[in-house]
Amino acid sequence: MGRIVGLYKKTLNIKPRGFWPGFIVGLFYFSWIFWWFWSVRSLVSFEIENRILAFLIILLPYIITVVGMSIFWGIFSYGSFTLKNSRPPFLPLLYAGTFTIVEYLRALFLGLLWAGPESLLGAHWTLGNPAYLFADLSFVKQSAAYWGIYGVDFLIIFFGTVLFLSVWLRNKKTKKVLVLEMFSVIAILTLINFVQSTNKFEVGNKLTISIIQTKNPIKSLYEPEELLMDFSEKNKLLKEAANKSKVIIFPESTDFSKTLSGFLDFTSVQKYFNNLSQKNILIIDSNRILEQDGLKSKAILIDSKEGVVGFYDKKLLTPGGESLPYIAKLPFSIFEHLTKNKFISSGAVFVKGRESNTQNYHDSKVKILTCSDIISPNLSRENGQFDFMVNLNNLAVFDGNPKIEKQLLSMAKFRAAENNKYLAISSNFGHSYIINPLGNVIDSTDSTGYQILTRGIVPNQIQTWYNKLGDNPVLIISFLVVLAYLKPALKIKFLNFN
Amino acid sequence: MNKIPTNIKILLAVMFLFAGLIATSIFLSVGNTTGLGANISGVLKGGEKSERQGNLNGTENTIPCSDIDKDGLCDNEEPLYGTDVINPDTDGDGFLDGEEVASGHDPTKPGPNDLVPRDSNLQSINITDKISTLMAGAFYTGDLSADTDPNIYTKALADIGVEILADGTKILDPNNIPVAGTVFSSDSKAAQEKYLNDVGLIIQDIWGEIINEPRLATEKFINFHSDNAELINNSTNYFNLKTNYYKKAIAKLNALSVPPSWLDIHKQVISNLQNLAISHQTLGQTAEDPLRGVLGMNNLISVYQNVQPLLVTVIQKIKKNNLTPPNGELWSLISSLTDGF
Repeated sequence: MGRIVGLYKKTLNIKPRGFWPGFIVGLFYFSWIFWWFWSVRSLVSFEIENRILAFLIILLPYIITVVGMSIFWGIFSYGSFTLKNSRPPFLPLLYAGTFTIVEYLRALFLGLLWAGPESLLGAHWTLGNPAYLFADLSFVKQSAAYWGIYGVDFLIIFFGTVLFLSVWLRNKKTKKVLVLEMFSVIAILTLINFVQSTNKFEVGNKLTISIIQTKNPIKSLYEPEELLMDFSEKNKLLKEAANKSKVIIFPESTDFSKTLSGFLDFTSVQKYFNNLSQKNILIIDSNRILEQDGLKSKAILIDSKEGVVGFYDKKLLTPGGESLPYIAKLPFSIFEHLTKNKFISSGAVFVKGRESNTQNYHDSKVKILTCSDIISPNLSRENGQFDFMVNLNNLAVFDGNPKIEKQLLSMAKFRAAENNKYLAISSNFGHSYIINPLGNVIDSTDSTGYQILTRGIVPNQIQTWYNKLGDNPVLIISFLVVLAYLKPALKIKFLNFN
Repeated sequence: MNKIPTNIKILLAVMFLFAGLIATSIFLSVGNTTGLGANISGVLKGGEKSERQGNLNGTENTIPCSDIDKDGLCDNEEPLYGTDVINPDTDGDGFLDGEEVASGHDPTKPGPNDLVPRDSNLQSINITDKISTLMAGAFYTGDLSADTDPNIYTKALADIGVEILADGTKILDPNNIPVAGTVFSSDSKAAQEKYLNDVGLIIQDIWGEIINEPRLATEKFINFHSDNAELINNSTNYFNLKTNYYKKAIAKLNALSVPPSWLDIHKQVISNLQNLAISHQTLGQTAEDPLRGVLGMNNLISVYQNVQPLLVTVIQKIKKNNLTPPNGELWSLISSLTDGF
């Protein structure tokens, strides 16, 4: 123990003082968070099948990402160290505010780090946010309906600091103030959870939805037998689901309509959908379609009787799967220069969608999030009010990596809770889930592979505070806290200047 | 002036970083919509790739060729045809030298009977060269000038259009891919099922290709617009390989014994395959003759649209004749798709 303390003190004193403990913790944490980088199948879409080459290509972005993210935790650690002489009762708020700002900055920075020609910039890439570690705690998720993941970050640091100081400090008066602070916040949280749990999100007409889960690997080209088998399975499952559901959801890149039009002409395709059921069914299909401006991951909303009723093109393109970040392009360019060979496929590149992800269907509004869109809290609350959410997922690009699947599920739980909506996740190469408005999984498939998951959900018109205001309140509070600390210092400077 | 405490400096630095990141994000977002982003990336998409003025031959067209007599033939081309560099109508028959060459006439022989014998399958003619020469000729004679009589202008354009269509029809004639005679079997149920089984396996392969093809063919076709010789070669090889692939499929189909009642469908399948082969063959020549490639691409798209009704027709016939081909996964699937039609 003594050795560890000694080592910690040594690390703490290396300049810049206070930076390294946070940075080192970050290195371990983010190495684990981003380990899914090594599921190299993602590069198949760029026609890179060689695993050694893929390893070399992934290595640099992996290191840059892990180190880049760790620097932010190092900055927080440095800030905390330099703020340690502030008045103890104020410290929990100050640390929480600083960490929240640093985490928001980190998400922004990750977007820049992974920027490619068609990237959506902004604080969308929330991977590794500590709030997701608490995705199984109901009261944490429910509070996200008010202040989102950054509010949860704020509370994590706040409670952590209060507990630490309560144990560490000897001054009884300060301890009392800290305990009072803690209980005040707990009381507010309890009240909020009480209000939240009395929400009537189960009131209304039930809607039966079916998720069609698939297991189609990512390849640049498929053998005819593979295509035939995959499409036959999807056709069989769609016909089965049509008998029991009003909404049927395929995973991302299913290419069902596209493949169907390889067999049937336009009129026959209409007949096919029309014959699926006596009633109107909404089928949410996802196709990779080459349009004039490039390839798109396009969700197509098909009414079995009325035809195509809406589109949504994926906005947050997956780095390595659909968009090649500039930092990943660097090793490609070096290899190409050294070997005089061309490694990157010159095929069409994916372009991001620009239209709304909320689609009207009869009297309902459906929020569509395609695969990595689920990572962004901003995209899930875009355009305000909607009735239920669907996430068309595709883990084939990560070879079904369970680490990324678990992370995505945690994020999905938060997205459902933030907006107080049912969320259905249809997956290719992973498991499918139905999550209730409290962020709890109420049904799921127990294995990967071709199957149907059917369940009733209740669309609701509730609009949460988070859906209305987003991350703004917690960011403003965090800024105010930091500014309150800075004010005396700035005042000194101002007076001296005069 | 008092020194600002270090911790304040750090917090200020964090806030500046925050502001900087937001400013960069806004800049890049604006860049993405205005094209600035593309400049930052240095990556341009296929369609916007080249600023060079590529001529219709697909060759580098840095300086327009010299044409002193304005007859549509470059000065350096005149000796090839034995024409006069300074006389626009060497044989004095009222037609410009360039027009005569482009329309297949001899520019050194006067009169209407000076047609040069052409290659029957048009493989040796460069349509792009021909049309550009015709256009240049029409422009220099004034037929395509802005101030010309609208009737003459329209007729000149129509004539050029007809030339393109006539050449396109000849080039894309499916019979340019030769097919051997049909071998017949009996019309018994067993013979029909055997035929369906065999043809099903061939179509299953082709169907897989057709599903992948529209996207791939478009991508490969776009490559011809790049200035990268490797990409152009890659696309040419791709289309040539596909041509051979479809020619082999035709040979396999031809080797089958056809029940007489399936002859119509058999011919339609072969005709579609011939169309696919000839379209790919034409696309393989895009680098030398871009206009030929455009015709090939259009034809290819129309062939894709012909395939689906044919498959439905096959299924209807299978159902009508109450046939059950033993390895009929493909037919079972299509049958399931057309249930209740």
